[in-house]
Amino acid sequence: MEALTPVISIKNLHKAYDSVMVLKDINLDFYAGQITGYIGPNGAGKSTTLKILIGLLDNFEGEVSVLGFNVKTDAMEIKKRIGYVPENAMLYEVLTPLEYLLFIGRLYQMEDVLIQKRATELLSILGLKEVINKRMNTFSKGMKQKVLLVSGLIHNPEIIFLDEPLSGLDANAVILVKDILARLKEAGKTIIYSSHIMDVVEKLSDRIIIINKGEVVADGTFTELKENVSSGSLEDIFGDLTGGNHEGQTLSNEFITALSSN
Amino acid sequence: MTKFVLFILDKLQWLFKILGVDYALLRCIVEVKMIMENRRVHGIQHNNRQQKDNEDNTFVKSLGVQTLLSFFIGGMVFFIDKTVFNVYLWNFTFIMFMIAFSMISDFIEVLFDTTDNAILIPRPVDGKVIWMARLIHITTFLLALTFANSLGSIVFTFIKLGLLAGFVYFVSVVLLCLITVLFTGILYLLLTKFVSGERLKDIIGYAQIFFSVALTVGYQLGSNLVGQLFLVQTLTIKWWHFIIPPAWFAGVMEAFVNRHLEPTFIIFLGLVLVVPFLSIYLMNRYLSPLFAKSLSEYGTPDNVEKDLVNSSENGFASFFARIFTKNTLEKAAFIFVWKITNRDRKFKIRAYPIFGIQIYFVAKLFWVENSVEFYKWMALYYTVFCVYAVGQQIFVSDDWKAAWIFSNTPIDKPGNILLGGIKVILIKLGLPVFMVVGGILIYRYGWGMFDDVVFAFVNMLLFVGGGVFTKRFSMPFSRSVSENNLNGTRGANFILLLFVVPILGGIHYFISKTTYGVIILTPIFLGIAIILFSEYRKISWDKIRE
Repeated sequence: MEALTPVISIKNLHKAYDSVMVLKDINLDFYAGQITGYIGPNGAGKSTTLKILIGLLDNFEGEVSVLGFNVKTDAMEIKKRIGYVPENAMLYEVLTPLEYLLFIGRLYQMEDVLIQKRATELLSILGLKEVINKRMNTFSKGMKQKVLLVSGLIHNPEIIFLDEPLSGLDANAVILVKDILARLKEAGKTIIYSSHIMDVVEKLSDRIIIINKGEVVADGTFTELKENVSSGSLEDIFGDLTGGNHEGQTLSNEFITALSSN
Repeated sequence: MTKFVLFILDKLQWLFKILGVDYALLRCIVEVKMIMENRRVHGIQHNNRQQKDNEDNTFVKSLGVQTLLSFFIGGMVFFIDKTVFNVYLWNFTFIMFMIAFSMISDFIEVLFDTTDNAILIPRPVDGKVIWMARLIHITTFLLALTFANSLGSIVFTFIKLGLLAGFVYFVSVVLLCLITVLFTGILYLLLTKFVSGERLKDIIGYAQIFFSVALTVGYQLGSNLVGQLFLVQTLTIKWWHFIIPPAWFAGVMEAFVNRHLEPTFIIFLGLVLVVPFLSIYLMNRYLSPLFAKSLSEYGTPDNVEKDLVNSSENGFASFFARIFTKNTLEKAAFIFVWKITNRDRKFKIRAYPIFGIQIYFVAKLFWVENSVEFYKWMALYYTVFCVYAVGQQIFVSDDWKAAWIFSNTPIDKPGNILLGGIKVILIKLGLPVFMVVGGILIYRYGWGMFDDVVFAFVNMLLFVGGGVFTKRFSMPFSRSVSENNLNGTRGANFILLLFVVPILGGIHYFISKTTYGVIILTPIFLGIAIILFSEYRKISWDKIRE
């Protein structure tokens, strides 16, 4: 790992909303050509970290740089070079996918011809060729998610931030997207992947970071985590580190008791 | 309201049992529907609402306003001399219009609403119960609306024309409500048979715009119409009276008050009695299964198949973008705003009725010989106000959450995005409306008006350009409708800017009295406007609201 060049560097990151500390002294480096699974329970601080990395939040303490640019002072340069697919993001649904992507591409100052070519090809590969000229307000959740994915990648970014990118996709699309992510990694892209689907994170990630209550509680390859924390699946490791295993058993017992009571 | 409706339903339990409907389930569904309805904001208060999620009864408040209004409308009953038919024809037309307006603006969504299907169909609930609940929901609220709109007339009819006439009027409004529901339902069914889901929503959107415009113009013209109505003292029944329901009811009132027993009035009475009950029968027998079928099919792939749109880059948007925009960001925003304003029916419903009153000012140019000068200036400068007011709507959207994209992409100069959007409003709306209004003025008063029209247009550019001095800006389609209505600061800016229109109009009026004033000031004002527009490009992120 020492030989790798960090493309993202986080040093002593603290972030509070009002008086509540949501990120506590985070120190992390992310490396080029890696898929990093960034996981944690709801409210752990994942989205806040992502928002800081993509330049949406600048009122934090610490040093954060992406591709050598300081996120506080050079957010615009960072935005040019990264792609972001947020969870449950909305689209302007009266537009067609092609129109939406043309708009997004222009915001990245791309040439119309290139946007049109790339959008058509990418949408077709994801099975949206037939609906490329249809308004998105008739689309299913999975179809919208595919458009969102393409919108995050259309400018061919160096770093890709994905927040639950497989949400709403059917099984075949999940296989395809997972394969695409593996190929992007081979092409040298850095992917930061946040998800609650442990199975996918376990299989896809070169490195897994678990965050709980604003602190990094585990960081390493899946094999390293198994050696250091517990020997089961990533789900077991996650449960052990975030208290889900013990709490989950107690709550499920209570649930079944309540259900069978008269 | 909910308790009252449930009380009435409880009393009618036996009827639902005869119809084979599970009353316990029906009551439960109706109760939830009523609670949800009470928390919804209705069309008539759309522009005035303050708080959306109040735990209050917005519907009852809306009814209160309409009840007050009904006493003004009902006041005309006191002026009845011999023209019972004419007065009630106007009265019933107004009430039917109000019911149809509410049906189209608010309750059409109830017909569309498939969310309760998703909740109810997987549960052990009979389709008949779902349908009956929907029917009760719509009819209850429309009956309440009908009474709110006619209470004044009911009271005044009792006082002026006696118990019998009052009772006949009361029954008439109930029947009129049923007829309106049926006619709207038939129209809806016909539409669902011929057009697909999205197209149908578009058509309903246009109907909503039509009703809103008609309502705005109607209020303005109402006083004139009533005035003319009372000049007509003779009773003349025309053939077309037999095809418009308000005339049937007016005919019945005429027959009861003035003791007419001629065949004409017997026919009116027959229509009034037969059509509503026939309509109830037809609705139960034929319409309900068709409604249910159209609802279950609604939104399926077969229905959306025809919703193909042209996303080619060779349309008007790209054509004008090439001419009027200077950089990629401005072009992106121009095409984006152009296309959304073309398609977002909520935008159209919010924006286009603003032009309604313009029709009134223009119509006045032809109808009123005196004070023409006033209406001439109003026609020109109300256009300036309209363009600005419509322009405000490009910042609002139901999809406002999709605006996350502006903060995630490398937009270094957001002013370009704003300018792109503003240019759409000027070119797509300002220019055509000025051409129409200017054309009418030139047609009416000759080519001497040409320089005034051009100067007013330049003043509009100056006014919109002056918006650059606003303290806070929003990206296009990035605010929710409720937030927009609650924003006090923006309201203050708006009022401040409203003072500027009359000032510009005043300057125009005074310099129009000089020989060369307009010709000299036009290029000067145009130059200032161009400078102001270029200032938009300098707007930075710290002036854009998050």
